[in-house]
Amino acid sequence: MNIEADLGKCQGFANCVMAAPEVFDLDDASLVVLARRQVLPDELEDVREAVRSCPVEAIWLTES
Amino acid sequence: MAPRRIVIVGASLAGLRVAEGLRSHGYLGEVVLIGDEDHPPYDRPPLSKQVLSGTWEPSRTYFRTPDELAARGIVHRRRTRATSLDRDVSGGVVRCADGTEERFDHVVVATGARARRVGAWELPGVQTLRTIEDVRSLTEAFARRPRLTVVGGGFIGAEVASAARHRGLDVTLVEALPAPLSRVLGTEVGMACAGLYRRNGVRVLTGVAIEGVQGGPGVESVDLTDGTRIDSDLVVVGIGAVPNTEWADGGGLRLDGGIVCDASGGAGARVWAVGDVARWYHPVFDAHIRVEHWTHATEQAHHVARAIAGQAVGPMTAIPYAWSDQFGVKIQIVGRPSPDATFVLASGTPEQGRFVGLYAAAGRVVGGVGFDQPRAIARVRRMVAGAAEVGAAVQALAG
Ligand SMILES: Cc1cc2nc3c(=O)[nH]c(=O)nc-3n(C[C@H](O)[C@H](O)[C@H](O)COP(=O)(O)OP(=O)(O)OC[C@H]3O[C@@H](n4cnc5c(N)ncnc54)[C@H](O)[C@@H]3O)c2cc1C
Ligand code: SF4
Repeated sequence: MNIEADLGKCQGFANCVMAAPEVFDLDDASLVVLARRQVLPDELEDVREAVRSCPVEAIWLTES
Repeated sequence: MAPRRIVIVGASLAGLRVAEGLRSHGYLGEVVLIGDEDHPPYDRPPLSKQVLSGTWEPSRTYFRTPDELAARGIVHRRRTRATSLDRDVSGGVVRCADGTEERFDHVVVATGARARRVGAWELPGVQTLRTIEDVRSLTEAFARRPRLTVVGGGFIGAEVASAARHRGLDVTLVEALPAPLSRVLGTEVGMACAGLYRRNGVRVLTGVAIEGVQGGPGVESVDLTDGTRIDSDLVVVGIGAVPNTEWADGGGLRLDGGIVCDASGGAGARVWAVGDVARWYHPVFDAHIRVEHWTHATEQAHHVARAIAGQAVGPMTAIPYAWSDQFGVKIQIVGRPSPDATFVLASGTPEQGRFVGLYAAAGRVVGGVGFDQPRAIARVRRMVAGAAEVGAAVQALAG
């Protein structure tokens, strides 16, 4: 699975960081930054929670 | 037998997420979402932030269009108020104010909470903030450039004050406790918040209660118990929320400041409750807790949707997490901070804005708060989940 992010939508809530800090971070402009696009199997549950917890649906998973 | 008809009462964040979660976990039966509001399901946090400060139109909070709901096979009944819940051996029936009935195999209660009001203060110009209608009338009132008094220094009161200052209004905030937010975050952090509000031009009055609201027909002043009179044209009351459980009384559920549920959201056979209305057992805190946070509603909804769709789910252990945007600072809270827990500063200084604080009980981290520190708070959340020893936690956060 890969993560996609739409920086035009991101509002810098950091909810994604709360759910999966190993994958998501915020930059200085408070926009989401991905450590990498590919999700490792043991991160998948956290990343799914991150996707659920983004209030503006700015991040989602795609099949790689 | 697999359930064929799921009725969800309350068409907001938690209810919508259950409905969509059922579909994404392969549930093919009927899904009926009953709600008393006249909007598509919409999001509340932006109401006191982007919408009230004027950067978003209210309709931008809509989660879905009616077409999107229909395409997912979700029947959304708007303007429909549920008035009773009756159960029988195979499910039960929800009765609505318009005389209609909805039979269910499983029912999910997602009726949320409403803003607490004080009857003696009711006058035109005294408002609360919970719905799109509330934010519309507040925005209209703001345009008349009123002198605003905010009663209650909780999150919503503070965000209203922040949005009003953003629009250049004259704002007074009154909190009965020694500091705003101190009921949740304790006095130290509350004092830091008071400082933040004052630096942004809010007149903050603490440790004093409301004697009454004067006026007629509109508001003229707010009178305090110490004799202070605050000339005001608009009053926003932000003194907490009351769970909407009354309609379900009689359904044989345990109502105790919310619908009492087990650790998976079960409130009885074929009855579930999620979101602000629900009081789930939380295994990490060994207590039934009602959490009025956005992400907790979505996690509970996800959990219940999976359970109804037939997946094996254990107890939900997600650690509560909430955020608030006030005067340009992102405040984040995890776990169960409380004024009774011991507050330990882990980094930064509250007076200067950025900091991380921990709340400890019996030497273990039970909660945390951060101002503009999302990465550290993400770590604190894991410390709460693992009941980390507080000294080690402070060292880890400093390093
Ligand atoms: C202004 C505001 C700002 C907020 N900001 C934040 C924030 O920054 N961070 C955060 O974590 N949380 C925040 N919250 C809290 C968050 O919005 C709630 O936790 C969330 O809305 C809970 O969703 P819910 O679906 O459980 O309940 P609700 O959103 O309260 O929805 C319940 C729905 O049920 C309907 N209903 C009630 N009774 C009936 C009935 N008998 N029949 C039919 N329908 C009924 C209601 O009208 C409502 O539409 C905020 C809340 C508000 C009001
Ligand atoms: S939760 Fe969503 S809006 Fe917030 S930082 Fe992450 S991607 Fe951006």
